[in-house]
Formats: sequence, structure tokens, C-alpha cells
Amino acid sequence: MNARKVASATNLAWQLGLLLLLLLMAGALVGSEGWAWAEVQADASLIVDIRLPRTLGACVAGALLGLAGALAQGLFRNPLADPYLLGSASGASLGVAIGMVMLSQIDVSPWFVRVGITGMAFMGAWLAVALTLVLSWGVQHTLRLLLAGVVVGVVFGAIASLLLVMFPQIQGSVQSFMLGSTAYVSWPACALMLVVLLVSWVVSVAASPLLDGLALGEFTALSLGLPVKSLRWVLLGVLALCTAAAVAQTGLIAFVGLAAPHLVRARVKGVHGKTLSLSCLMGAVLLGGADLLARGLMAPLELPVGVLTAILGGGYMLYLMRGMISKPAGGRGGGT
Amino acid sequence: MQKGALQCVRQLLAGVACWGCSAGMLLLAANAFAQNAMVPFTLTDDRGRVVVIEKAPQRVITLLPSLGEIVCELKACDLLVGVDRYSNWPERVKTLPKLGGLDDTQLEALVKLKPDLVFLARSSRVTQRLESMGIKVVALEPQSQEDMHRVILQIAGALHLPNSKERAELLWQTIQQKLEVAAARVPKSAKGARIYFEAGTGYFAAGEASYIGETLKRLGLVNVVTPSMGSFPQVNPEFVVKANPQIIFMGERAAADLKKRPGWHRIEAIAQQRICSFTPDQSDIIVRSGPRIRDAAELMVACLKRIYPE
Amino acid sequence: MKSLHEVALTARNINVMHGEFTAVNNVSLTLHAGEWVSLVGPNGAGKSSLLKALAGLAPAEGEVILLGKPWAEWHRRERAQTMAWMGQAEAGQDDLTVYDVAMLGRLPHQSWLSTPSAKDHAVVEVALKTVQAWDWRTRSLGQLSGGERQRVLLARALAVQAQVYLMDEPLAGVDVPHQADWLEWVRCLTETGAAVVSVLHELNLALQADRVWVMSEGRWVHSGLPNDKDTHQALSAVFQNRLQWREWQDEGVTRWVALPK
Repeated sequence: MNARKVASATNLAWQLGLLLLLLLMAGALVGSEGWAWAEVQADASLIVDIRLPRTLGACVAGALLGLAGALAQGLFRNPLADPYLLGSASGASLGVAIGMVMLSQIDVSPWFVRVGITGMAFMGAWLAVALTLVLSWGVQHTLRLLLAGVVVGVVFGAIASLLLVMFPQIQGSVQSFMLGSTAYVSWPACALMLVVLLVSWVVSVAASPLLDGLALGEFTALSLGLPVKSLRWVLLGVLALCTAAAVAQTGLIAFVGLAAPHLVRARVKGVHGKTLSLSCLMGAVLLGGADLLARGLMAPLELPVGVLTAILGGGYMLYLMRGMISKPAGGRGGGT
Repeated sequence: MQKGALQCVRQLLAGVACWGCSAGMLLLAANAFAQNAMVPFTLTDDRGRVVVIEKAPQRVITLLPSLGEIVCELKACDLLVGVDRYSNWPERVKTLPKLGGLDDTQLEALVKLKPDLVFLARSSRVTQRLESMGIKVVALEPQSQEDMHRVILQIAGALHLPNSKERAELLWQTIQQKLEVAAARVPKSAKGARIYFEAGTGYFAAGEASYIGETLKRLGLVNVVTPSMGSFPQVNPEFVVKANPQIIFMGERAAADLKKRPGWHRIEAIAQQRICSFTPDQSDIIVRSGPRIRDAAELMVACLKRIYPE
Repeated sequence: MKSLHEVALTARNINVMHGEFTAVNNVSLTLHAGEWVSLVGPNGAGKSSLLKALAGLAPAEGEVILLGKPWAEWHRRERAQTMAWMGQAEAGQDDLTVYDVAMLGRLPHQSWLSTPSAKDHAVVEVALKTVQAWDWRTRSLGQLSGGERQRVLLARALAVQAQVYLMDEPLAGVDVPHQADWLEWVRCLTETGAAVVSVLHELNLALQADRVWVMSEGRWVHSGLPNDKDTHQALSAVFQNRLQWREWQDEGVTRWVALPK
């Protein structure tokens, strides 16, 4: 049977799970003074109120991005796909820019204040994806979807830039959002992201046969009796939801969505039901680790977490690629 | 014998009366003081949020330099336990822990300082998070001199300073007086001159509607950037050439490249060499909408005197 | 001789349009159970489009009746269990293992959210062993050559255990020994009562079928037995008379080979 590969997937799951646990524990210890044991006894509220939600939040956001990235790559059959490819990044930035402009006006309606910047980022990301789906007139043509996503991304980005020029005082805030940060995640935010993650994970795994079928081609998927169109809508919706939820809380963190599925596939080959779940774990470890390094390396200074995800994920990918280049092209060595 | 006793009693009575009076006055004063400290101060901050400060805060953090400067000018500098990375005046502030900027405030370091009250700008990213942890936050961002007046009153009240209103008004009057003095020293030939004030690289001008613009107006100068163009608009360089200012104020670094700007050699200010450039330290004073606008005015006047020698 | 009375598939007045261009023009046909039919014709004759139309994968006008029931009355899952379509390998992510790909053929038989049953595993094992891919079942698709990949896709189709198989160029890149094996696999299928329609580029392999359907420029040209003269004439006609026919004796049976002229 498929015993060898299944063991590999379970192995990876255990390894990642263990790593995650270690990260969560380490997260409680790394604070504004770097690694500190004594602090743990001194001030428990610091750990509970600030460090734990932050570490957990980084892990959950990473899981959301990993899942979204795996979905994007599966739906579009493109290894360069990432969660932001339907314009959600520009949509979130525009939402944040509009939110900051509105909040800087004198009579701002209380609704805006309650929604907050996170709410605006979430809505912006959603609206961008919705607009992309409308412009591409449905979900059946992946090329149209991608092009529409590019158009929406560029246009929304331009509008956001216009706002930045007209209201230069918001430039700093919008820029820091674009850079991404896990520093301000609270317990309610954690809980919200966790709920989104659980729902999305269950739905994705249930609909994952679509991704397997699509791997063999659209016609094959149809001939296998898969409701391709409806499942596509469902998975695109999940993709948008995961991305929006992560981006709203932590800003635009690059590379996690792109790298996590690749890192999983480099270790384990298998059906999407497994690789989606593993991408969640991998994303969680990636962002959790990056968050830890971001505040621990040069405490009390904080490095931008997006830079660290690029270094961590990119570094590991380069290492894997080196292995790919030195080994001869697999199988029977080419030829029929 | 009776006269002596009466005199004694009278003296005693007088003494008691005196004592009573002073005691009473002390009690009244103490009561007033206590009342001042006990009455919760309510204010509506720049987010439109109503904040109630029940008692005098002992540990205050400011995340905007101008707000920290106001606190110190109100003689409450000792209450400060932490500031942002850009705060550097007065001297005492330099020794306080620095907590980052508006967008990357170090949350943990801030919470460790256990503040009773945090003053920050409206656009600060950390506001919601602090409030969710139960820390009292007041968002203030003075954009004009009128705002500054209000903010000084609000800060004085929030800090529960004794005679807060009077203190705040006194500070404001002092600032206004110094501005008047500076305005009086502007050379006559400079009055009414057209001025272009570049607040940031990339043609970001300080218009008449900004607080810098208000100071310039006080000094009797005419800003080429009108209120209708906004407080800090990014202007088309051609507009500046057409407006032909007679004086240009800008930062030192940009001033060095002034001649390279295409078409700008025609501007009167450049032809006549009437350019005022500010070092980065001086820029700090001028750009902050805090109590040091009076020093800003003096810097401007000093430069005006140089370029309009009488 | 097996009974060819039961009708597996009937199609009437099939029209497939690609925009303004008519790919399939008013084609009607009947496919019997236990029959292997080759669909031949020059490039652009509309063979793939016709096959896709029969499989319900491309929008088409006309009627298709599968096992006596009209198309519309079939539930999507039942239809997928009854009719298997196999196309050429499309470029995509090659990260599924050979075993996983073959298991995908069981998808129509699995209920939502279920794991593969013992029967599923058994069927996949048989399918992979048939195409001789069992030994490398843990390799990923990307590590295989073109011909090997094609055999795995064939195993995927076999795993469906359908009653009608529609195969579009199933032998692309497959080497000669395995082409011969394929003939055997098709025979096995038809012996169990399944019907197979294959579009084959290799004319001489196609001529080994039970029946030959000839198409040209979207139109139906001829349906006949592979050794009949009219079939040969029809084929020569659609291939612009660039064929020369040679006879050969295969264990007492006269067969014909078409060679390019």
C-alpha cells in the first residue's frame, strides 16, 4: 500500500506540531528584553496579556496564510500563486488608507471608530476579491481570474497611492501596515482568527478532491463527477476569507503563503487533503518562528516580521532547491 | 490686675482668632486642593471618545513629542515615565525610556512601565490594543494654534494639576506674548513678503492653514500656499515658480540642491539669496505643534533679520 | 462471438460549436456494449470534440442516451461511475503519487468525506498491476516519463470500472510493447461487457478494433468494419489518398495495414 508516503506525511505533521509547541513556549519567554527566565516569575500578566496572544496570533495567522497559499496554488495550478493574487493585498491597503483618512477627519462617525482599521482592512480585502470575481465573470476561466486580479490589484493600489499623496500624514501608518506586524494581536483577535481557521480548514479538506481532480486537468475533474464550478466558488470564498482574516490582524506579510505549500510538497507528496493541513502547520511554524526572532534578535528593537519570513522561508527554499539541482532529474532518468 | 487679665484674654482671643482664621484658610485651601484632585476630569479627545480621569495620574507616557513638551511646560515633567523615540526636549526627557514611534510602539516595554495615562496621536496604531488591556488613553493631535490652546487646557485638566485652568492659560499667554515679541522684531522690509515654506522633501509645503503657516502669518509674511490648498499639500514645482516667493524656508539638506531645481533660478528668493535653511535640530523645533512655536518664531525672525539687514 | 445487441450509448444530431466554427456537424451514432470502436480521421476532424460532447464535458446540442436513459436524467455521480473519459496528460502539478492518481479513479464511487475502502484499494491495485505501474506506485507523477505517465492515467480510467470508456489519444508517448499490452487491456474490458471508444493516431492499431468510425471536417463519413473495402476507401478519401493498403495474415485471419504513400 501507500505505507511509505503516509508515514512521511504523519511524520512531518508530528515534527511540525512539536515545533509549534516549542515556539509557543518560547514565545512566553521572549520579551522586550530578549530571552529572560527571571521575568517569567516576576510578571505573569505580561505573559498572559501580551506575549501569549501575540505568539498564538502569529501562529494562527501563519496557518491561515499557509492554507490560503496552498488553496491558491491548487486552484490556479500555478506554483507561483500566493494568497494575494486576487487583489486582496491592494484591497486591504486601500481599506486601511481610507480608514486612516476617515479617522483623521474631525467628525468621524462612531461606526468607523468601532469598525477600526482591522475591519477596514478585512472589508477592503473582501471587496477586492469580489470585484475580481465579478470582472472575470465567474470562476471557470483561471486566466481571466488572474488577469482580473492583476487589474484590481493595480487599480486599488493606485487609488491608495493617490490617497497617500493627498493626505501625506497617513503615509507612515499605511506603510507600517504594508510591512506587516504581529505585535498588536489581542486575545479576541486570536479567537476570531482561530474560528476562521477551523471553519476554513474543515471546508477546504472536504472540498480538496476538487484540487486533486484539477491536478489531472479540468476535463478529468468534470468526468469524475466533481461539481467543479460550485466547489471552485467555495474554495475561492475560503481563500478570500483566510487572507482577509490574516491581513486584517497582521497586515501584509509576504512569503508565508507562497513558501509554506512549497516547503510541504518538497517533503511530502500526496493528496491535497493532507498537503492543505500540513501547509497550515508549516505556515504556523514559519510565522511563529519569524515573530519570535523579530522580537528576540535585537530586543528591545523589533525587526519587521516580513523580512524574517522572507529570510527563513526563502533560505529553506534555497536549501531545498540546491538539493534539486545537484540530484539528476528523477525517475528512470528521462527517456521513454 | 483685671486690666492685665483682660489684656491676656484679648490677646488669647486674638491669637485664637488668628489661628482659627489661618486654620480655616488652610482647611479651605486644602479642601479646594483635595476637591481639585478628587473631581474626575472628563474630556473628549480627538477621536471623539469621552475619557474620564478619576484621579491625578502619577505615571504618564507621551507618544508624540509635542504632547510631551506641553506636559513639561506645564511643570509636570516629573510625571513622565516614558516617551517616544523622537522626543528630545527638555533635557530630562532625553533620559526617559524610548518606546518607539507611532506605528511601531513597543507594547511590552510600555506596559511594563505601568502608566496611569497615555497621551498619543490620533493615528497611533497601538491605541486599541492599549485600551483592550485597560490602560487609559487620550488621543490628541493639535493641528492649528487653536487646537494647541485647547490641548494645553485638556492636558492640564487630565493631569489634575492644581489650578489647572489657570496654569494652562498662563502657559498659553506666555506663548502668545513671545510670538508678539517675535513679530515685533521682524524687519520692516520683510513685512508682507511672499514666502514659500517647504516642510518636507518632495515639494511638501506648509500652507497658510497649518500651524507653521499661522506663525508665519503672525510674523506678517504672506504664504504662497493659500488655505484652499490644504495644510500640507504637495505642490507642483511650477506653481512655486509662478508664485515667485521672495523668501524660501526649508531644511538644510534640501537647500543645498535648490539651484538644481529646473526653472527655479528665476524665483526672486533665489536670485536675491533670501533663503533660510534649518538644521535638523532646528527643524525639530519648527515642525512640532507644541509650546516651542515661540522658539520657532524666534528662529524664523533671526533668519529674517539676516536676510533683510537694515 | 459476443452479443452486440445491448446498446451502451446513442447520440443523435450532435453539434459542437467553438464560437463561429462548427467542430462537430450533426453527428449521430450508436455504440454497443462489449464493442471496441476506433474513431479515426485527419487532424481537425472534430474527434476530440465529439468525444468530449459524448462525455458531457463540452457544451453541445443534440441528444445523448446512455444505457437507455437520457443524459438529463442521469445524476452526476452515477454518470461518472458509468462513463469514464480519459484525455491526454495535461500539464499541471506533478506532486500526486502514482497511487493517488489511480485512486482518483474511485472518486465517483466514494461518498463525500469518506476514506478509500478496502474495495477501492483492491481495484486500484488491480488497475496499477494491469498497466505495470504497481512497482513505482509511490513515485510522484513528475518523476515519470511521458509514456509512463500515460499508463498511470490509463490505470486511473480503469479504476472507475465504468461501462463506457471514452479515450482520447490514450497511447500518446507509450512505447511499442506497451501499445501491444494496451490492445490486451481493451480486449479484457470489452469481454466484461464494457464499451470502448478510442481516438487513436496510430491508424494500424485503430484498425484492430471491432468497428471503425471515420470523421472528417466535423462530419460523419463512414462507420464500418476495419477489414471492409468501403472502410478502406473512406479512409483513403479523408486522408487525401495518401494511404497504400497492404494485406497480412495474422494467425489465419486476413488483416490490413495502411502505410503512408
